[in-house]
Amino acid sequence: MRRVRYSVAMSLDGYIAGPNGEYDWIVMDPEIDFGALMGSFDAMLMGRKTYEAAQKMGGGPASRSMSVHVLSRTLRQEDCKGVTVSDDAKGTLAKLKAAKGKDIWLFGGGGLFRSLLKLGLVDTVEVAVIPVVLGGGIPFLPAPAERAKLKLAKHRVYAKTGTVALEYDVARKAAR
Amino acid sequence: MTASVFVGTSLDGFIARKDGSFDFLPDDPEPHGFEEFLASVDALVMGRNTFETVMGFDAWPYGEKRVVALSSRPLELSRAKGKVEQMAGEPAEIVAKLEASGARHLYVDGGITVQRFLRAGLIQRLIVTRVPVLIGQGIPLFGALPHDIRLRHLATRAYATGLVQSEYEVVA
Repeated sequence: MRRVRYSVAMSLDGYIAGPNGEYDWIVMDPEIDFGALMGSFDAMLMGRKTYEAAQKMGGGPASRSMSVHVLSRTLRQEDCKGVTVSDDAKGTLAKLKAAKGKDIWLFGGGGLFRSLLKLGLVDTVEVAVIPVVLGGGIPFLPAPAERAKLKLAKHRVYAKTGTVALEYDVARKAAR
Repeated sequence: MTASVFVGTSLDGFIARKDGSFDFLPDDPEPHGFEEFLASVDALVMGRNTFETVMGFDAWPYGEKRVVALSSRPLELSRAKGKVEQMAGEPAEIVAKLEASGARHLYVDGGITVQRFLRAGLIQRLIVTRVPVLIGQGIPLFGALPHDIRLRHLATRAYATGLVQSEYEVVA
């Protein structure tokens, strides 16, 4: 079964970007195998703001080996080339999960993570904690959000940059 | 003088719920170095809110350790079960006073107090223990800061219940 994995870099105090969307504080540790990480996904999910920010940055993270799904109530498919736009998170996830493939990268932002968490659709949370305190910015999980129990699956320190990679499984909610 | 912060947080970066409660922390956490840390400090410095929260606990958690409660208003120290004194003023004055009295290692605690000391550049070490839970809202770990604070990672330990503790020093 394909898993939905929220994989992000986060400051020690819980932000995934600075107050103006800055990500210059994210250090890429040379020991992290980004190729292998990317290669474990073939689909990517993002919210409108993240998609628009990626567009501004010059096209964003899309690649030929990754289908990109943007969840938005306001974007129109005809304005967004190369990606699939939908306002139905549940339906999109159900379709993706029913199809064969690699894991699904929940790229962000925090708002989409919150919505999917509420629907019980996130399988793992993978956080690379960068050794910096930002004191403000775009939160990893914007309040108010559902409470969720996690189970630590893995942790690893990348000594060169002091990045602490944490991997958690999201505890399954009881069936409703 | 070295000032350290030893704090537990949810993965999403909250040290307490909005009402100040800590019910997301494990009831009976496995030992994760708190006693050893406490033994290494000469004094605790905390704000009034934290002091009053601790006063409500059944047991006084700090033994005979010197505790400095910061408040510009009078505090009811007579009910305290440990060695508590009151101080008021800017973080730099507090540190200078404690240094003059022989303290070499401080434990700074409480959301607002930690934030004030961080802003003043008076924290050297952060020990953050992450609890494997998302609580969705609450009191943030450090609050707003005027600029980024770079850290150097010193060590990380994981515990059987899923606590992950990382130790950092502030890069001057």
